[in-house]
Amino acid sequence: MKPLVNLLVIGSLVVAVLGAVTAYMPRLSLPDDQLVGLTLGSDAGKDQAGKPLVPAKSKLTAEHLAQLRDSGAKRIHVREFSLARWSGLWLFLAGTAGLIAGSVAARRSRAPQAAASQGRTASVDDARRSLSEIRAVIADIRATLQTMDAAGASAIVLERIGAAQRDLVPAFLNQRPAIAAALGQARTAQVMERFAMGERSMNRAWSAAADGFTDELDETLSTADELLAQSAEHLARG
Amino acid sequence: MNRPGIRRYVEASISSVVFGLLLGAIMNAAITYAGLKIGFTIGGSAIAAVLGFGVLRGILRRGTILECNLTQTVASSVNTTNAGVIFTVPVLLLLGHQLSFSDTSFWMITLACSVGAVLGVAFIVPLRKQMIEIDRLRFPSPTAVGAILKSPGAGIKKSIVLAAGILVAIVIYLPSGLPSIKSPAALSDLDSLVERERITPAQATLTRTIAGWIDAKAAPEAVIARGRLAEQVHDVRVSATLSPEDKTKQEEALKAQIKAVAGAEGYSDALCQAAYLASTGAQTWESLRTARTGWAMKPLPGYQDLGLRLSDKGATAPLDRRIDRDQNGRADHFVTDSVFDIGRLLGLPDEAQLALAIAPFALGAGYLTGRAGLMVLAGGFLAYLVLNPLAFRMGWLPQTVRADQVASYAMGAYNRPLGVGLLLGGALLGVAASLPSIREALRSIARAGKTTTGGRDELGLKTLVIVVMTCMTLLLIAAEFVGEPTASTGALSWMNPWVAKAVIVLVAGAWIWFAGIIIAQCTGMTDWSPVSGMALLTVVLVLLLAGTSDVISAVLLGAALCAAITCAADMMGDLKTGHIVGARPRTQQTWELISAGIGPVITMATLVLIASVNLEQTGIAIGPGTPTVAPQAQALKAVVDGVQGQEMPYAQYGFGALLGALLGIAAFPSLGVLVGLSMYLPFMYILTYGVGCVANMVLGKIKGRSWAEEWGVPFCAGLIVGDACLALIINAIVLIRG
Repeated sequence: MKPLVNLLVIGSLVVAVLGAVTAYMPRLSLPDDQLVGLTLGSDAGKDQAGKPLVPAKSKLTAEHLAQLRDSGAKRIHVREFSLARWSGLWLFLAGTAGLIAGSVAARRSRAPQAAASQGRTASVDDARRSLSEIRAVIADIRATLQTMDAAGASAIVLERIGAAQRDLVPAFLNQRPAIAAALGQARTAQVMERFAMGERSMNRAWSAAADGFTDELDETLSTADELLAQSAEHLARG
Repeated sequence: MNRPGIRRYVEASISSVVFGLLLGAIMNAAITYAGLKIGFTIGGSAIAAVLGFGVLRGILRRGTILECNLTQTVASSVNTTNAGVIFTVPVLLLLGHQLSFSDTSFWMITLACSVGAVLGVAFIVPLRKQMIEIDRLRFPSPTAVGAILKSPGAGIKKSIVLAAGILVAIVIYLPSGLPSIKSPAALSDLDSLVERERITPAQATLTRTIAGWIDAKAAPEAVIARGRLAEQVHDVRVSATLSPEDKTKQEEALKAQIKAVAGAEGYSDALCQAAYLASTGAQTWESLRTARTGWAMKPLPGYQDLGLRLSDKGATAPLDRRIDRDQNGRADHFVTDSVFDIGRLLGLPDEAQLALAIAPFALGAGYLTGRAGLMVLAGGFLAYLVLNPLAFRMGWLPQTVRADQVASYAMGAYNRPLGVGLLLGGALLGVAASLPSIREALRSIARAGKTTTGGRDELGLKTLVIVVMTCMTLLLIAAEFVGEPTASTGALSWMNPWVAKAVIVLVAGAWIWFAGIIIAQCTGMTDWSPVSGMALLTVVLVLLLAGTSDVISAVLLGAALCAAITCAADMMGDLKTGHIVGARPRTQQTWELISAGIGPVITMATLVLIASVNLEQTGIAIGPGTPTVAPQAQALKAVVDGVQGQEMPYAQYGFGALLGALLGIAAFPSLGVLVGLSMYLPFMYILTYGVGCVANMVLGKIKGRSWAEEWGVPFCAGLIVGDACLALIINAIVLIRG
């Protein structure tokens, strides 16, 4: 179903954009009274030397139009827009209708996905697991920090927080669509906001360790842990 | 709370702030000059990060990761507004208005731009949580800056990878950038330069002619006569005693005489003038050996010198345009200094464009964006490989447009208006779709201080409201007191002028917020910033409301809005870098609010200084005929002329917006923004960017996502930073050499 919907959306977009392209390009087959007096947006027609028959910015006259039709030109580019002159209107409307149909179809095809609660729960569980793992890493580091000198503390934070940033944080973030499907946007925002604040504290601890500022490490990691716990709480309420 | 004996991890030290301000001020003045002269501007976070990092850590041996982050935050906020100001304010000079330090208009415009910059920051701050923490937008360049700042702790291997990225960027970009450094060609080089298509045969002939005059220390009488008149034009222009009307009259009379001089038709006024001055002894004859007179210039070697041309095997003379577009009798290069034209190499129809820009930054940005960037690539394929060829084949385009001109014609005629419309519609839907989480983010900021953990991380809403109200009031005052009082001719002409100005300022405020979101979303998702498109729409909006008779007010508001949207995007990028290194947003936001207003003062002062020197030397403040041609402002002047002449394709903006919104409903909210961006940008950059996106996905499949991130990010950070630094150096050399 999804590939068909995507195809419908892409095809409709192409058709609608093609229609929109002609908005300022009326056909020369229109009667003179619809075209005379319009201002050319681009050169029109071409003589044998390759020079334009009517240059851009010219006000169209009946003579211009006759000349252009004789030269075989099919359309002109004008500065004024009018629904009556827009030959691609039907293409645009068809494309727009296709996009609307695509939207409806996309929403319908998303519904069964959302209803697949089994898979969704598994993903949210994965997110919970990732959060627990990150908190476990932090707890472990904090326990180890008590027994280490400054150099050792920096090294362990750089290594273990670095690994968490590389593996565990992306693993949690990958579950965002599932969290959003399960909790809705507002609740997801609460989860993500607390998570991001905790993540930023972890990042700060990493930077402090890299700069050799180890006095604040425990405090910063404690803040990170508290914020991640709040994120986990919001997630659990789902 | 400070505890005794504890070494605090400080973010805002005196050295980091002062150095950021100094660096930003120098970059601002230099880039303002470069922007007016050659159209080069750069946001500067990456450069500021590298310079700040090098000076603070490398030379001063101080500065933590967070201090360097604050330095780049302050420096980029001082620098970044110049793009908005030099895009707009020089339009006034081009239209014949004067700006000087003793002029109220100068101070009102400066005030408006400073206030606009602060407004841009204040408006975007509440969206940080939404874009960075909830939507997790990627922000490729700020991510690259983060990688640079983190390099001291990232280990030697990552530092080597980062350095390798910089080196690769230099190796790729050097042959692309070097040819912009040129020196006067020797006569013995002319044939080779013609052979390599660096100059035309006509330029070679002119150079030989000038060389003959230099050797003979004499030029034809007609040339000298025309030069004498050209010199008189110059004298009239710089005259301090003549009134503007008299200047115009006398200049026109002299120009008519110049036209009447027979025998000097093939030469420029500048050449004739230089020859005349040489004949009087005021200058040496050697001074004719410059680009200004038409002397051929020899560029440093570049990709084009590899001589990679399309095959002309089996073709008969004269060569077909498909092989020889410029009809110079030789097959065209498929690799020029800046482009690798795959489409022509593969023999695609000329109306279908498929070319890669030689731009390491685009490759790096594409890699850092990853899979999401494929939508931009798809939009580019749609516009340049489907839409344009179809429109051409169906005979919709003017007959004078050749197949190989389709891409550039379509860009101006419909791709760009539809692209900007798609951006607007997509962004509007994106904002609507994100309302629940935006509301949640705002609630969270409002709760700041009430929670025990992390609450004071963000500037409070109360502070922001006070800043916004103050700025809006100052903007209204600036708009009211600028220029001569003129009755509005715009959509609000029926209102009391004071009320109308107040309404315009309110609409401007709403537009800053919306345009700031669009720019921040675009840079966040793809690294591409449609700032010129937004600036263009901004000025159109102001002109429609204020009317075209009050151009000074319109430009003032347009400049303020452009400063605001560039600052908004910069702020969001800086906050992303701050997130990566663990900086406190509140500190960054406070310093960006303080420093953002400084940038426009420096830009405006530099602009007026340049205009004063130009006036003294050439009699023209800015634009053609001066060393600073202000290319961006000329583009905007064309827009102002377009609005005045009712030439804007408003319907196409509207249709684009509708499609952008529908796309967002059909797929995901920001799809309209991505597709719009791809129609708005030149395809060659999108293609290079797309290669980066694909490389990320392929590497992720082969080596694993974690590996692709761990090693790809520092390498691509190197590509982005290396490209930006080298471009800055090359442009500085070009400027210094004149």
